[in-house]
Amino acid sequence: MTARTPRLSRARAMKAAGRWEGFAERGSLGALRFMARLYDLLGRRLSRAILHPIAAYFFVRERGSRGPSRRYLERIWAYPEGRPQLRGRPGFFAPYWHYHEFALQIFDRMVLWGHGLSELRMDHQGSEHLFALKREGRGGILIGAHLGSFDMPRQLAGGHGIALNVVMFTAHAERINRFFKSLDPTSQMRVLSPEPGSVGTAFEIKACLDRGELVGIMADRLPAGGDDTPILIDFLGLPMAFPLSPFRLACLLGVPAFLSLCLRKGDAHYEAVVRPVGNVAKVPRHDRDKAAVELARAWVQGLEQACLEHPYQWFNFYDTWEQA
Amino acid sequence: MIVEALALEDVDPQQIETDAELFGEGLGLDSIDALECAMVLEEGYGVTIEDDPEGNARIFASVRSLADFVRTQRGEPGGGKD
Repeated sequence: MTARTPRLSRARAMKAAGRWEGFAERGSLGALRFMARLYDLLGRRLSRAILHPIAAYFFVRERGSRGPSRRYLERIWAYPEGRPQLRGRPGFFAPYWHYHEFALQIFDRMVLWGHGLSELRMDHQGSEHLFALKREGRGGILIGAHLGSFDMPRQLAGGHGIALNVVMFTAHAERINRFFKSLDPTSQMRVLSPEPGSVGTAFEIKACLDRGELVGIMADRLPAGGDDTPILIDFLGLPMAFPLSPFRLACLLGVPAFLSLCLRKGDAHYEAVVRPVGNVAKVPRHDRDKAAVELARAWVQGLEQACLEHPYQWFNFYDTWEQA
Repeated sequence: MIVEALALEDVDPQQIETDAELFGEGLGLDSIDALECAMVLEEGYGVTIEDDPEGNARIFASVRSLADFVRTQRGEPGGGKD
């Protein structure tokens, strides 16, 4: 209909996203509370050991996501620079380590919620970009992924009085906001939860950026109900569907876009990375779609690099390529 | 205006019905397209469109509602003229 990039079937994308939501919700709050008690009682080393039976449980229970996990790890294996980061050629048990990493990062998130940064080491790379924006009173878009600990940027923003709005399609935005406020009353993190497909989403994001705030969006998965313009970009050698909206928005408003990830570097050691991906200039109308696609490609390249460096930390346990 | 603002290449302005739905089913425009329309209107017609979810859903319902909104903002009498 438009001269735009090909749009994919939204129904198929939604189905895939729905499968994921179901999986993520199984890590319930009760289990987290239990782990928190255990951590305080036993200390890190002993309570960490519990993650093995948890990973084993998921390995048995989540039979359906074993295949996608293994296929993803096999893609990593195909790259010489990815190979050394794997525990050997991905075989039947490879997804176990994928689940274990997921459990470990949820565990560390729980530690972070309970104890702040006193028990974790957090390094920063590129945070000067955010401080510069703050000084100039400008907004920026942090484009993240389900890679590493996506809760961690909150720390960075919170510690420096930078307001961060995280776009999340959830019915529980109010509850999540209250939860974070209770952890840290000075927290300037807010969950923006636009109605899927509503006309107002982009206006709400622009209002945040106009106030000089940061907006965080995940772009490695199509949102379950959001209005999106998916685009196919090669990821680890195969075309995969990515949402183009975050990149279109950056080009329309002329705000800087950053790749923003928080990766685990060692035990209880994380690094938050903020890397500029694109031009900050407003793109004229006729070049905008092209510019958005270029921006998306640059971002995907950064994501791919990070996946090759930390293969087990990408938490997309469904067939991401299947949609293509 | 909409066609020009969004550079919809294969849409003829005459084909857009004044009362047709712009977003969702009708023309299939999305939230970012709406924002773009709003920004063009702000530059070209000097009207301001705020971040008001309910208001915006009404304004961007169709070409007619959009035109009515611009007329009201500019203090012109609204009405049947398209």
